[in-house]
Amino acid sequence: MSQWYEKHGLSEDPFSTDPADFPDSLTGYERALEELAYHAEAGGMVFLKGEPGSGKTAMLFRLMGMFPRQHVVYVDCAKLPADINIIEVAKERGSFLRRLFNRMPHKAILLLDNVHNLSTRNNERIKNLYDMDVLKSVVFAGDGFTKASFSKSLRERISSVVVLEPLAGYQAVQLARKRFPQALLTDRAIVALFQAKAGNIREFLKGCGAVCAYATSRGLPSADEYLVRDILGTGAQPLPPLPMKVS
Amino acid sequence: MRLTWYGQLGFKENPFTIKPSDSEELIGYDIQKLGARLDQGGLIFIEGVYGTGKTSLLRQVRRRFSRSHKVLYCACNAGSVDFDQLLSQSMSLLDGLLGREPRGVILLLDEAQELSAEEFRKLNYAYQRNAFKSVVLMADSLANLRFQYDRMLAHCHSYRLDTLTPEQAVWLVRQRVGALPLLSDEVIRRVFYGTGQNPRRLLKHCEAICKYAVDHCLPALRDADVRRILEQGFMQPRQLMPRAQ
Repeated sequence: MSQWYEKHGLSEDPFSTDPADFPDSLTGYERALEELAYHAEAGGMVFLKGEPGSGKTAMLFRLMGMFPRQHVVYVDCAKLPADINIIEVAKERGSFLRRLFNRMPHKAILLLDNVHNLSTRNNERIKNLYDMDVLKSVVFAGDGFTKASFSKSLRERISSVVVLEPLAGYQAVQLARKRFPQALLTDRAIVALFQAKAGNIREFLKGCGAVCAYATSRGLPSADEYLVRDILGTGAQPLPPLPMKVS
Repeated sequence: MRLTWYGQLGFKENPFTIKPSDSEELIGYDIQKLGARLDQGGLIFIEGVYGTGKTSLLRQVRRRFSRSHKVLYCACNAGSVDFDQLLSQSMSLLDGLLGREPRGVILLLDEAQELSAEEFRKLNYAYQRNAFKSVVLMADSLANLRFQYDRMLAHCHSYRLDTLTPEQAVWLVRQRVGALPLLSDEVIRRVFYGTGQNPRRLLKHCEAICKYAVDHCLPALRDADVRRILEQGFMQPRQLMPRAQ
């Protein structure tokens, strides 16, 4: 069964919530990305703060693309066992030769996602590696600065807290248009979706995909804010798309 | 990626890096006096608040004395300290063949406030057996040490890292950036006082000032800009710790 976006000439879901997809569509966060990139290049420690679904991981993936691949190490701390030694994890992400000799990636830029899952001890290990210049710079990403298990001496090293502020309605429109420029979704529909999802970008993108799928399955020329409210207004999930015949 | 502010000014790397340095001349710390104490041997406790250069001092000691001594460095905040392993690192082949304890070892313990009572007992035991000629314990505060203030600590030689004078603060910044017109001596002194006379905060705020000036194409910052940069951020200037008695 073909997907709704294939009927619009696309091979990939334009509203995918995979952080690795569409790295150039971080609308509204250009200045935040610039600040992160500066501190990563200048050898600093920086904290990226954002609510779940606000795009932190997408930001980190975008940041990875701005530096040579062998110089950046990304670690999702939410996927690590509680007793892990973060240094061993980082070593595994290095080049083959460095892994062979059990060495850390040289002057790596370390990106730690969901850092609130990391223990104080592991944070201290990272601080020591940073002080020894084994790590060039560190980006900590999480829901809140105070939720992270940072010692006082580590906090003192952090140069900046970059906050992902909620997007404005027009920025949500820009984001959706960048992903899917076709006129299936009206601007008002996009804003209505964004408001209904309380600014959570991940849920907003999912909602855009669901509404587009619904409208496509019914052969509607466009989906406006009334349709969005009909689909989402009662809190019920959007109706599943009708099976489409492949012409 | 856009050229950084320091790149535009001709610096290859960020001149205001806060990473501890082992090559930079430390200002305000009498490393010769510390070296003489290390030569004599003993327990040395160095107290200094965050950002005053404790780790830089240890790295300088390590660099200066590693040719004449066996210098071991250990950060106590990254896990339990294995003194047996440290001793085995310091042991020469001859020591190992003859089954004797290594001699003449200088042990540098950073973040010593994280040592547990058991680790300190093992340290004391090794020290009493002359396994270490000198032990330097670096911590943010003697009062913050978690173990009991026992008679071992009572025989420590204690030092407190002095705060820099404003002239030393200016000299510290000039050593990094030279006679950069963006930063006048007066601005450096203002930032130094505005950041609680903390060297690390001084460097970070000087970085913020220079970045702002270059990003906005300003030849020099106005007073209002300096004031705003000092007030910005999540860190507020702190008062100095009272001097140890």
